[in-house]
Amino acid sequence: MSEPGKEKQTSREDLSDQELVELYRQGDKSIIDQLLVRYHSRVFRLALSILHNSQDAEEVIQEVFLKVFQKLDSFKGESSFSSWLYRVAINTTFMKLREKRGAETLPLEEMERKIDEETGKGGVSDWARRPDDELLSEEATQIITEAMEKLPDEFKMVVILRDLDGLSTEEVGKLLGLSPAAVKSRLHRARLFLRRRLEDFYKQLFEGE
Amino acid sequence: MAEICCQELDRHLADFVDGELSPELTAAMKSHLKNCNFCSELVSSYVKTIFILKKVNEVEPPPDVVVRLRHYLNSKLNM
Repeated sequence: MSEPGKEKQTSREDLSDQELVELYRQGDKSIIDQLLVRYHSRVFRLALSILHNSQDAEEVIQEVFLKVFQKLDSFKGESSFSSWLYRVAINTTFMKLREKRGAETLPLEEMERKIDEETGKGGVSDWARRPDDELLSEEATQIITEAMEKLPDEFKMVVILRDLDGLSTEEVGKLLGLSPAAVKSRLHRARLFLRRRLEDFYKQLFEGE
Repeated sequence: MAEICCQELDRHLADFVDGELSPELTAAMKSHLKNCNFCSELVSSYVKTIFILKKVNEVEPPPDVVVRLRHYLNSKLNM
């Protein structure tokens, strides 16, 4: 005999976000758990990749899901639930960042100029051909984390949504109010910036081998 | 097949690694990469940077985070 609760849970896993939202509107608040299962990790990762602090990321996900569920009755469905959730998560995370941030990032134009300058000079080395276990060190983690922190928010958000969350160029554009060309340009420049930071680190690390 | 230069490769690099280039441009990029060590290393390190970035950020929240989240929402939403 199957457990009644389990049967209910299994069928819910197959429901779309929109169907779950509809059930919520009809008074079934228990669907909250299914939406948490689907999205809490993604929202946590997004917050953590910007704030670099688990406690802050946890505070953000609590605030995000509270806002979302408080407003779910009035959610018009003009965008998908996940897009709406992401928008709330981005706004909440950046509000938290502004509360916490000490060091300012470079202005956008200066950042673009710096990236272009750095990309244009020097050569490239063959560090990328080394085995992954030589590259994935604690120091490398530190380097790329610090480099991400230095990126202006406008670039950082594009990298997180495209490369870490796997959203499409169009989805990122809609979320951030950017054209596909602007998303691609920022993504490329940010990746070059991160690559350069890693290259400087690995060149020094493997020098003389 | 049209040939491309290093500058053009840089311009199309993001689309190339994301698989968003036309078949013609993809072929031109691959052809350029066969003959240009500089661009070949650039592409390898560009791809590896994305890989490292993903690896570094592959984190799951600790299990107690969702437990506390449920409690928090239960108390705030009077469930």
